[in-house]
Amino acid sequence: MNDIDAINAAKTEFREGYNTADVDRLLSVFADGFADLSAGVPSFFGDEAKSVLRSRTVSLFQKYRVTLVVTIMSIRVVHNTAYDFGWHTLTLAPHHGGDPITSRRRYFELWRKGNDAKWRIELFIDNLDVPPSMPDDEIDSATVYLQCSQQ
Amino acid sequence: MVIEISCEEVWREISNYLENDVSPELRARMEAHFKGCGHCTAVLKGAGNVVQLVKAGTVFDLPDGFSSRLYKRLQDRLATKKPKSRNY
Repeated sequence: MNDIDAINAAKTEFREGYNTADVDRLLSVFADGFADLSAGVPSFFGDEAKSVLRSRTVSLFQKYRVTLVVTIMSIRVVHNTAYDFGWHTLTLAPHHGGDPITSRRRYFELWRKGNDAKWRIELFIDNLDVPPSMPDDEIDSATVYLQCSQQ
Repeated sequence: MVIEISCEEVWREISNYLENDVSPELRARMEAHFKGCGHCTAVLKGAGNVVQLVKAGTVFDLPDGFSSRLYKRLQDRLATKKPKSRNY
């Protein structure tokens, strides 16, 4: 298995960890002492990060049935380091009824290949996605904004 | 269990996918990716349209003066779309 395939497989474990509410399976993808810079919650680093992620996901799985769709835009490997980025679409269906909540986030992950040849996430960061736009529309609206702010 | 695949890998294989020249495992991974990725679905549809048009081999007769009108419109468009300077 090459490095790209190994990271694709690790991302599959990440996805299935959420979709089967298996906290250990999810945590197995993260390095000990990883940096968690998830959006909307305090950041954690070092030994605390995994404990906090465990606590957060246990609480999440108690309240919701989670469906995660992973869309990997790109994976780049440089020696024993790699990064990937893309989108996570998370749907949370409350166990006790109610409408499901769906959020789409764009993420970046830094990976490190361990001595056991397994790839694990060393840094995770994400933020809330916004609807896509064509470049010309975005440049025009930015120009209008600039002109209005200078008047 | 379907293993993840990235957009870049999908783009590399998209013509093989359209030609039915991918393994069943890769096809399943690509199809799972298309379900969640609007960008790649658009690329797939675009590539599929091109393949269909090329295979059809149909030649369309263009109206008289079409080329010169198209050329003029492109020139006009380029003239009005000069790069904008940005002051950051």
